[in-house]
Amino acid sequence: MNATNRALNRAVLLTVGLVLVALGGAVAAAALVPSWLAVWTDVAGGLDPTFDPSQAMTLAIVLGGCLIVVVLLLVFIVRQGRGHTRTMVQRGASDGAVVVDTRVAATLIEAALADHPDVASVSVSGYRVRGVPALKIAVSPRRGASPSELRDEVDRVVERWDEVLGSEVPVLVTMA
Amino acid sequence: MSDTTTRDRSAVYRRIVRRETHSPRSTPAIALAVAGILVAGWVGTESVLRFAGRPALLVDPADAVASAIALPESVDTAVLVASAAVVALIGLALVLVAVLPGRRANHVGRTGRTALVVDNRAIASALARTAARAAGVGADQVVVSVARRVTEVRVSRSSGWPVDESSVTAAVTAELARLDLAPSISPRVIVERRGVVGA
Repeated sequence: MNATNRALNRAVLLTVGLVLVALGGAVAAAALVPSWLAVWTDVAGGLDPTFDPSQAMTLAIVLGGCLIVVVLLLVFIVRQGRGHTRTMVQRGASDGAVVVDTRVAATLIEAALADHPDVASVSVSGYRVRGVPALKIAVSPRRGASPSELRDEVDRVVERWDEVLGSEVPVLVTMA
Repeated sequence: MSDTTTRDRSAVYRRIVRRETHSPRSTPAIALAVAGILVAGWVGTESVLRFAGRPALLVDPADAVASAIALPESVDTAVLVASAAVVALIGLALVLVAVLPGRRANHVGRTGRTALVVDNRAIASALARTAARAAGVGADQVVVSVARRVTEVRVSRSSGWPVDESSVTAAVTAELARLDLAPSISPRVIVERRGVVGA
């Protein structure tokens, strides 16, 4: 339900995977087939084997490249799993504004469900999906509890919350 | 902010449900990024050490490049092919993770006021209780496994007590109908022929 860039994750995994397949395949082919080995030595021999970071310029280029890679990868990691929101409702008026915090929803809904005999635990969190605030109610049912009965109970609690809030935010119920 | 219209709501629910039933692949992506950071950090460190004329941590970068170029001659063919195959297999695994749908082990309920996603374990637990009740056996005499389209309900009866397989099937089918899950699950009920003594 979070805002992870899933297409980017797939693209990164696919690209690195293809590069590794190509690399492994090329090395194996060069090791096994003599004529391919000739290609390898030709190409590799053409490279300059005197790569030498004792030159200040080379060092700067290498360090700069490493730094860029590290920063990009850190950004990539940090951007996983974002999309939580603290604001469920925001209504502006000329003389002020009303903001309903996600914690209000979490406290009310968790309190209403925690004592239900079929509920082992419940946690509520807020997300922003397509620009709209939405709630996720994660219920752990007790062993053997019927998900359909539990869902009816959760829906009743959500309807009471709708009345409190005065608007209907999208709600995802998960049972695991 | 005004209330979302029904159409907006269903689009939001479609996205939420899609995200809840498919893996974001964050774990392999983060693992890959961490590996990339380690490699980049190592290359940078070795380069600085080399520039300062200090001994390398692991391998001198110039030596590494030179030995990569000389790889086919300097390393035993069998070792080289084996390591190349391992690298290619890791790559293949990454390609599969990227390309396959990455479905999670859960099912989607009917969307009404709320959207519902139920984990297969929760479904199995509910079906186990239903089956145990219908069979008149203890909860630990029923083992249920839930897959994407089928569920297997395995009942071990108490010795000397018959279990009516059709009534168990009917009860499980009724519970699945009430759950109304997508994709739909068809049950397969198996009553063990040998009874359990002392259960």
